[in-house]
Parts: sequence; C-alpha cells; structure tokens
Amino acid sequence: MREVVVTGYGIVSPIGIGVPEFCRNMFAGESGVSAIRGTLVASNFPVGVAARVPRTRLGQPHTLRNLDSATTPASWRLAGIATEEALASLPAGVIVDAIVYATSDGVSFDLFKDSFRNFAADTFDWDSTRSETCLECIRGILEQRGNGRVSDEAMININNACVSGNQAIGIALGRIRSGQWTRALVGGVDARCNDHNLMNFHLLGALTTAEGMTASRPFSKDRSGFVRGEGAATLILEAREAAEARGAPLLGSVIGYSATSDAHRLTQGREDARGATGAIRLALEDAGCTNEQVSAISAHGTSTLINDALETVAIKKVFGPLAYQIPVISLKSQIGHSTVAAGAMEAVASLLMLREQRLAPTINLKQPDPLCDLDYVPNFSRPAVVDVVLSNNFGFGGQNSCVVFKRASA
Amino acid sequence: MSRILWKLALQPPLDEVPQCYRYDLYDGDMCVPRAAIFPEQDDQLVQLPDPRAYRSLGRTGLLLMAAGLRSRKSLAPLIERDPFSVGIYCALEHGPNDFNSAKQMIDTPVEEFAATYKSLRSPKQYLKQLPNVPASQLAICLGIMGPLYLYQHSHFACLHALDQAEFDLNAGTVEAALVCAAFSLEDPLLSMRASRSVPKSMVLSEGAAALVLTPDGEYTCWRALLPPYTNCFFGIAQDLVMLARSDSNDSSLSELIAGCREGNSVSIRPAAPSSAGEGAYR
Repeated sequence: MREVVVTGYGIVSPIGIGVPEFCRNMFAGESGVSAIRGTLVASNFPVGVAARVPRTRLGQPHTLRNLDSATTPASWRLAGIATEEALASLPAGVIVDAIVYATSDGVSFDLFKDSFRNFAADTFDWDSTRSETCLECIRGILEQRGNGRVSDEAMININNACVSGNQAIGIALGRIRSGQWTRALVGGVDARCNDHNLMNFHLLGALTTAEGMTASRPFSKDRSGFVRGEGAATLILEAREAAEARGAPLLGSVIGYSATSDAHRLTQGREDARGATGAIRLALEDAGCTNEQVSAISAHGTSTLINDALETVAIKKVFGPLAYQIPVISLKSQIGHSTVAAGAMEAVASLLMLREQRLAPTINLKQPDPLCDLDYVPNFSRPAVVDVVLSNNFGFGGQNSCVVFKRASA
Repeated sequence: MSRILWKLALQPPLDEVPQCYRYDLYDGDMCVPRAAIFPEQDDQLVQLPDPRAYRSLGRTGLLLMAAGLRSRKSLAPLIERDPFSVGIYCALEHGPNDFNSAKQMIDTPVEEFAATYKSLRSPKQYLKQLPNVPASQLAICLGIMGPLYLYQHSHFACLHALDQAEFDLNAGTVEAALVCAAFSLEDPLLSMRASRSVPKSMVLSEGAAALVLTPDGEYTCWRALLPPYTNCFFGIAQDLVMLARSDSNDSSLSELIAGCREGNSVSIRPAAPSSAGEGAYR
C-alpha cells in the first residue's frame, strides 16, 4: 500500500485568503464572524451574523480573469482561487489524474427565481443546474496550467452535507494508496452565505441568533447553534514516491480515513454516539495508530448544544481517560460552519498545526460546560508537539467521517 | 469482480404513448415533449415505516426509498450481524425546491423577505432539498451504519457510485454495497435540462434502481459493463436503471460480459431467480 502525502494546499476563508494569511489569523485566534444586517440581509433579518469571505478582497482567479466577476458563480471564484494557490507547487507537465470535490452547486432558490425571469426570453442558462460545473472550472485551471485534462468520469463531485470534505479526501486516499491514481486534486467549496440559505437553516433551528463576533462558541456552555460560514480549500494528494521523485514539498501525510452512518435521525446524532465512535475507531485503525499516538483532534465542533456534547462523549468513549490529555480544537469557532467545505478547510488547519507545531485555539470558550469537559485549547493557541491529528466531521443526515493526518517525515 | 446479489429497477409502464409533461409554473410553454411518469401520487409510491419521513422526502427521494427498501431481505442477515458492514452508494441530484413560494417571492422587498419566507415555506422544506437526505433515510430505515456516499455528476454519478462500492468491497471496508439512484420529473429545471440533453425522440422517464453487490474476486470494470442507451432516458439514474433492468437474457449485457470475460476476466452473475419477482412495479 502506497503512502499518500499532501504536496499543495490553498484556502479561501473568512479569516484569510491564502494559506499564509489564514495561518497567521488562525493561530492569532481571529474571528471571521461579522454582522450581516444592513449589508447582506435586511435590518429585520432574524439571523444577525455569518462568517463570509469578504468579496471586496476576493478578486478573480487568474485563470478566470476573462469572466465578469459580477456574474461568475461565487463557488467558482472561491474554489478557483484556492485551487490556483494549491497548484503553485505543481509544475506544468505534472499530470493530475482526478478531481474529487465537494460542492453544493445545482438547483437553488436563486436559480429558480432566475428561471422565472429568464425562461420566457429563452435566456436561462440550463448548464447552471448541473452540480459539476465548479469541477469543470477547476479542470480548466489544470488544463491552462499544463497539468493535463482530467477525464469527465474522473471528475467526482460529492454532496453529503458536513462530511463531504473529509469524504473527498478519503476517496482519493484509497485510490492513490491502491495505485489506481498517482495524484488527485481534492477539496470543497461552499459559497451559500445568502438570505435564503440562512433562512433554511434558521427555520430548522440550527443557527444561533446570538450577535457579534463571539456568536460561534463551540463547547462553551452558552453556545446556541452554529454560525453559517463559507469558503473553499483545495489539496493535492499524491503518492509519496511520485512526490519525492519530483522534489515536491511534503506538507503532511494522510494516513487514515473512515466513513460511517448513525442510522438514527436526520438532524440529531445517536445518544450512544455509536456511529461517531465507530468512525473514529475505524480511522485510527486504518491509520495504524494507537490512541496514544494522537496528538490533537480537530473537532467537528459546530457550536450546537447537541453536537458538541455528543462529540465529547464519542471522544471519551474511544480514548477513555486519555481523552483528557488530547487537545481538541474547533476551527468553526473562528470561521463558522461551511458545511460541504468544512472538512477540506479543517484539513488545511490540521496540516498547519502539524507544520507549525502549534495548536489552533477554540475561541469564544468562556463558560465551561460540564458536558464538554475536555481540553479544547480555549481562546489562545499554544505550542505543542503535534505528530498526528485526527479530523472529525459529523454531518446532517447522520453521516460521520474522520481523516488522520501525520507530520511529514523525511 | 462483484456479484450482484439482488437488483431492482422501477420504471413506469412504457406500453402507453409517452405524454407531453407540462409545468404550469412558467408563463412560457415549458414542457418535456415525451415523458413517462409513474401514475402513483407521491404518497402512494412507497410505504414508509415512519410516516414522519414523508415530510423530508420529495418524489425522487420517495422513488429511491421505493427501490432501496426492497433490498431489506437480502441485506438483513448482514446488517443484523454487523450494521457497519454495509454501505450505501447513491447517485441523486438536489431535491425539489418549493417552486410556488420561489415564484411568489421573485420581487419580494428585502425588508419583507424573512417574514414572507417563513410564512410561505415549511421548516422541513429544506430537508427535501438536501440531496443526501433520501440516502440517509434509507440508512435509517434499513439500519445501515457503514459508509454513505452521495454522487451528483449529471452523467457519471452512477458510475462513481458503482466504482466506490467496488473499491470498498475489494478493500474489505464493507461486505455488501447498496448502490442506488433515482430520477423524477418533479423539478422542472432538472427535467428540462435532462430533456434538452438527449435527442427529441427519446422519452424522459422517471425511474429508480437499486443493486446489492457483494465481493466475489477480482476488480469489476463497471465502465465497460454499462448497457447502452435505448429510447428511454432516466436522467442521473440512467446507468443504474439500465444495469438493474438487464438480465441474463439481455443481449447487450451478455455481449459486454462475454467480451470482458475474454479480455479482462470480468463477469457478473445475474440476480438470483428468487428475487426476479420483485422487479415488477405496480
């Protein structure tokens, strides 16, 4: 079985566009949450905050420079910029075999409104209803850079709610390990911080109605729901021998993956956390890791009452008393919940913790909750020996997926 | 190679002349010129164990459940022994939006948006739109706790689902894979796009399919085994419906299998005769 390494990454997030800025702000404990009334939504909107990527700073991906940024889909811009950054380490002529990307594109409320306006005039863009258009944009970037043309059937787009990002990594991990592929582009994008998407989650009771930059409070007793976020992250996964042969930077190894289902309820995890514990155990088993080898956990940590408590239960069940010694961080405290992109963005965060030998903080954790009594690295980052990071995603619908990253060894 | 332990294709009766299917929502004449739909209303498509599940499923999701739930008998022994040993691999597009409220809100002033949205739409509406919810409901109803994947490529989603199932079976991640897909005409935009993507002579048909795969040796090249298109198009579910519809007497599949046997040592065993009766949908 071949070892799989990460040789490139790029990110567009509410706390930074590009890895250097994201890294700096993540360890500084910056919040990407901001007020949206009067700008994104009306002054009487029931939800007052979101973690948006500031469009004014976003620019246009170099490869899409000929397109009008006002009409280019936001997902293309976010994913495009993240992908171009990831590809900076990939010279022309080095071929990418596949793209596995988590997207939420396709038919939406806005698209319907657009269709009502444009159908009679026959100006509606039917292609915009396909969910794979963002992957075609990414393929175009690869082609323009001279990294080959990924075949139609090797463009795999998935949409499995909050576990999608981890699953994109897991799918490519398996294929590269087995020798089917040598190199793949993986990631996720979510650019749906808009009024109707916010209302959808609000009506389901999932979003916090707390105000201000501190509204996302994973594991804090005063948490009251998640903050909607957005962003994109792209990673290059590659067989180690191929990466070494071309002298690529080794940013970390992907050593384990798992996916399970709760088979319980759509919007609530199992009280016994069986699906989540199964996912953690299977990922560690796949990685060949003992519990003692786990240096840190990047939690799903959504800031909802139930998820954070159940995730804590799952970690304790798997690790026993050792759970109290393993730092658990939630990136969502800083960038909110970007659903299908979350896993990919948290992968970049995990790799940066391995690179910097430093733990990112869980910010806004001011009120300890007896149900969440682990070390969540509250409010301030700190140096640590970080060799192995377990990254959890537990999704809407009852899906669980974990990825294990390891520090790149020479 | 995988073994198809069980399979089922659901499709409307095709002995009737295809009808033009119109969407009244649009001022212009939006219609699928040649369409085949199940005569059943949504709530008649499948009997769900928990009636509350209907609230989170559109017509496509219900079709997926109608096909997938019939796999219960063949999967039950495995699930009882180890629920993590079975996975779901699904090809499905987004569920339906609330078309009427979307139309009513075209010109809603921004200050009235939230209140109007709340008054016009059910809180459960969003669940119907999420593409992974039908597959999740299937996992809940069948007690499947293994991996669940949701693929959305408009042309290759079924192949992606089959390939991942094949991979997981070969890797020993699962002992059985429920591969499923569905397509309905409930969403005018998806239907119209699908209709425009095929020749006008083809019938755009609702349909659903489910296959239970188990490991049986070497790797199956599903790409080489997908039956060719006929005069019927099932949207994103096309490849799986055609595959599930095939039997050992199907000349196209037999030829493909024979060809693969010779060239690549790939073979498929047809569904067990005992399950053949489940192929008819009424």
